[in-house]
Amino acid sequence: MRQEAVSFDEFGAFYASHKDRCLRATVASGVDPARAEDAVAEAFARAWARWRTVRNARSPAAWVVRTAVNADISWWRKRHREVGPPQDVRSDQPDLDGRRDLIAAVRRLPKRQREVVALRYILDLDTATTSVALGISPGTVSAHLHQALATLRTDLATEGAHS
Amino acid sequence: MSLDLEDELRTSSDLTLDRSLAQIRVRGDRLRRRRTSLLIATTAAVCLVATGLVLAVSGRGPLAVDVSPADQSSGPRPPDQVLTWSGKPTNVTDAELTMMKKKCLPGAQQDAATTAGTNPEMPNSIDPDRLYPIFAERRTDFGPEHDDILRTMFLTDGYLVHCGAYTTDSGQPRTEDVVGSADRIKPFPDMGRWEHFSSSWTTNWISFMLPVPDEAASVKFFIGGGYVDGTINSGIAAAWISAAGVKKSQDTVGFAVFDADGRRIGGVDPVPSKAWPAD
Repeated sequence: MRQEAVSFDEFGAFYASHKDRCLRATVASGVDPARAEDAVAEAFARAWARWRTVRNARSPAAWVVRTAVNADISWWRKRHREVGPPQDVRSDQPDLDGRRDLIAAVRRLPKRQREVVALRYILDLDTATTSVALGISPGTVSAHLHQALATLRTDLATEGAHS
Repeated sequence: MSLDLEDELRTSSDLTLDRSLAQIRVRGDRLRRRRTSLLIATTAAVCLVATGLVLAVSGRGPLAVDVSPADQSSGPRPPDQVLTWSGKPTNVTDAELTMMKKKCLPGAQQDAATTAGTNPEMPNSIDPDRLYPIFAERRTDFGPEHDDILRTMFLTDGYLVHCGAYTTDSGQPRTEDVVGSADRIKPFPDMGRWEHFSSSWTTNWISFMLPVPDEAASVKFFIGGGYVDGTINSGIAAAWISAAGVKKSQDTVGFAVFDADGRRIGGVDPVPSKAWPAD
């Protein structure tokens, strides 16, 4: 019982400190913003369901993002129908894809580049952990980052010139 | 400039996850209970599609050759080697097999006693010394739910014993998770050929099993408009695939068995053209 309480405290701390970053990283990885919240919530729930394993992963946050990208969100959708839609904290904001912000720019990058940016910068993982999480070499991580940053600078500069 | 951009990436966006920790925990606890019950249910072959489906399947296509499935009544045949479900040498150690067998046996013994209660021709217990592993495999990060799992299949007199356990980070089966069950494999006296075909489904993976005669050289299992090649060991054909992307429907489940010349000796035509990944 005590061990479970400690685990729950530990998971609670992990959730509080990583939930927003994981959501950003999931959206940046290419998941539709309309389903990203449900997907990340589902991924955290799965992390709690197997916390003894996930807590020992090299990066539990990367595990959550990877799971969110693959998550089936039907349970959360059903729950929304049963209890009514939650208050949408972004409802008074323009659609993410229409916003000129960095996350939207990252979403326009090629798949591997946005995955690297999501893990390396948004989750703030080091290069080695990012390479393990994505199954690519550290050198490839650096190469993708270099290309991604160059594209982002060009992209944002172009948007700035048009605005 | 670059550093500014990197800093912005680390702090940008006002996206926030608006779900309470309590919600997450409720859902996670539910998932944990479901995982445990699914593992038990699956090893008990809860989604056995055998009789009705195979009778229906057999009725759809002519069976050209009159053969009987492997007669398991003559007793188990120790395999030359233990295989994975995709036909490679097993990645499970002898010590792990011994542990799995020991932990599975109580559940399998209960199943044997129950089966023998209504089928007097069946053994009412399982002799551990005549329980031979034929399939054993550890898979990590497997399926859409990223399971770390170890499964084994043992053959014995009249029964096929299934065992399963989730594994730790170091790949060791968690002993408290090991569950086992025994399925009758001895042919029923009044049942037709191929009727012991079964498929087991979870939200994460799909498994097939079919006793086959000695002349069977290859087996293809079908589901969702695709097929997977089965692996044959000691008269049992089996396959185990991820459920990712597979539209599961009993109407699409089937199999085809071929001899060494490629002649179909059981099951149905045509074989779907799309292949599912075997592992």
